Amino acid sequence: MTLWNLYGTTIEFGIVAALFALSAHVTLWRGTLSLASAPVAAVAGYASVALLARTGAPFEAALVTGGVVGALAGLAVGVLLIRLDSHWFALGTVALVICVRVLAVNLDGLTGGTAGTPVPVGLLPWHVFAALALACYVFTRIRRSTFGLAAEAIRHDPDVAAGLGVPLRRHNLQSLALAGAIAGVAGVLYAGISRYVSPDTFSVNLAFTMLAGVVLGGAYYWLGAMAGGFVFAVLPELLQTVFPRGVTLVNGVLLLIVVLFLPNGLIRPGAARALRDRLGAARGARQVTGEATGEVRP
Amino acid sequence: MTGSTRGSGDAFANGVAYGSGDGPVAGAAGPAALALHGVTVRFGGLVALDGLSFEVAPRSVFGVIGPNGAGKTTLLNVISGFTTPTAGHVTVFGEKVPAGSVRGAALAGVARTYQNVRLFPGLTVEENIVAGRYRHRRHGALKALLCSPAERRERRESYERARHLMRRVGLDDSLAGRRAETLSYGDQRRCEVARALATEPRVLLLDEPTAGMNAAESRALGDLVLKLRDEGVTIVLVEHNMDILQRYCESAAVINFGRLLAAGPPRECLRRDDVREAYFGGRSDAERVRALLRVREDKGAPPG
Repeated sequence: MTLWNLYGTTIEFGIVAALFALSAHVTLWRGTLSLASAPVAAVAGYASVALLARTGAPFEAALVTGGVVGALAGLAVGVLLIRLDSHWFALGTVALVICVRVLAVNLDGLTGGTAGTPVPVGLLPWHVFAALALACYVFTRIRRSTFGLAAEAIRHDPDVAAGLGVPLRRHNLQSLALAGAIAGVAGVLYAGISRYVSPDTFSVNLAFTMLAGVVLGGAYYWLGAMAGGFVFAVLPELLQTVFPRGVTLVNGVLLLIVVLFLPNGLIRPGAARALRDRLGAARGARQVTGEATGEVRP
Repeated sequence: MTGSTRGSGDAFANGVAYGSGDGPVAGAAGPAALALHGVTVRFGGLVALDGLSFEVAPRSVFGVIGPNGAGKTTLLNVISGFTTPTAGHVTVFGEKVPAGSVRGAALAGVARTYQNVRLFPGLTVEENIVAGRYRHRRHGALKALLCSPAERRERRESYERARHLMRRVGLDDSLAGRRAETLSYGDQRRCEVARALATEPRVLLLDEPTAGMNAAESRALGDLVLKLRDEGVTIVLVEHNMDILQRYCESAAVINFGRLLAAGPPRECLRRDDVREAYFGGRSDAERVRALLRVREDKGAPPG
């Protein structure tokens, strides 16, 4: 039995969780806490499953559909909640998670109701890895683009960013569309791995799990968010054999340790550079003090 | 206008025109770079600005002075859209700036620095300045995704321009990759000026730009202000350093309790008794100190 046979599905779930965490990171990058990825993934997931069931299209078509529907759904969330700020926006997205679940339960004809609906076509491992590679490519390219710098600027000080001409609302909509596209693809992959979609697939639980992954890895750096999402999904599976009854507790303790001692998460961009800058600044201060006190340095 | 309403026969004679009532005196040579029309700001019962009206001529350095709490920063906040005026409005080169719109003011060509430095701390010095180029960049995230040569060229040019601006404000090239939060206070101020210049402003508002700088550094910044003026930028300078103010500003407005106390050449403004009293404290206090010194000298104690 190969390693992939043993852990393949776990790794696939881990990558999908990483994509969900990346989706949550896109809005956090600009300082907006949003749980909209879960309901957006639900809309994209159900739409893609309907496409597969009714047209017999290949899974690749479902992935593309998921991305497009997700982007549009993200944009719709933005238009709906654009006037809300800060924690009110976050609460609005929590309400959307609940609303979409209620709709999924009650729209039997479209979603299969509480019983859910099976996914007719299975995905292949390369679908998951291709989505991961694409996500990594996108973020490598846009991190230092106009969009990326604007996101960083808005997170640090939205008023000053606006004073430099950054359109805050338009940027918010763009972020939500990008987050929606990623969540949409992740939702289709999630449905494909599970081979089944129900109202509980994209629930509050998923929304908070992806957020926990972002906190674990590092909210403000895309690679950190992805790593956190992956670890938070894979670790319980690996620990299952060691702590069959205490997996959730271990996850909670891990998260608590990270929040207390590594508030920037496991991966922080430029950590080495920041340390070097601090040491440089301290050395500069010592030299100034030395000059002021007349201390002679060899 | 409230406070001093010295009529000016020749508008812009000293880089400023003063008016009374709802609006400033119309300039003779085209629209003013900046004009305040009866701007009033109330915070509850507190009147921070009280019907303030004045004009600043294009290509001039205009000083705003006044004691702490006079309303200087509120004035800059209104011009840059951070504060919505209760009444009145602001125009930049004749165009009305949308009230309370920070981006609207930026698009009108207003850039500013802040009394308390507001850099983006997590970004490097270079990135902070490049962020100031946002309005002038034509290629967005989509072109970046497609590895467009035009986007890459534009990005490279933005960073080259940031280096140029760093040198212009007196920041060493070696600081380009440093995170802004690790810079000294004076360097943070320089970086903020560079970021404001990156927006290619028509009107530049500088809120105490020389705070934290020594005399030589302050004069270097003053020389830069003059060069910017010669290049066509209109500069509004809030400054407590009287030497800088008198040396570099062609005209100034003195504000006290949100009202215009005096306006004109800085030297003339500072000579006025009411300005000295508002700025340096009551005359009776000064007299009391002088009397105390006289008494101490009479008793043989060393003066001071």
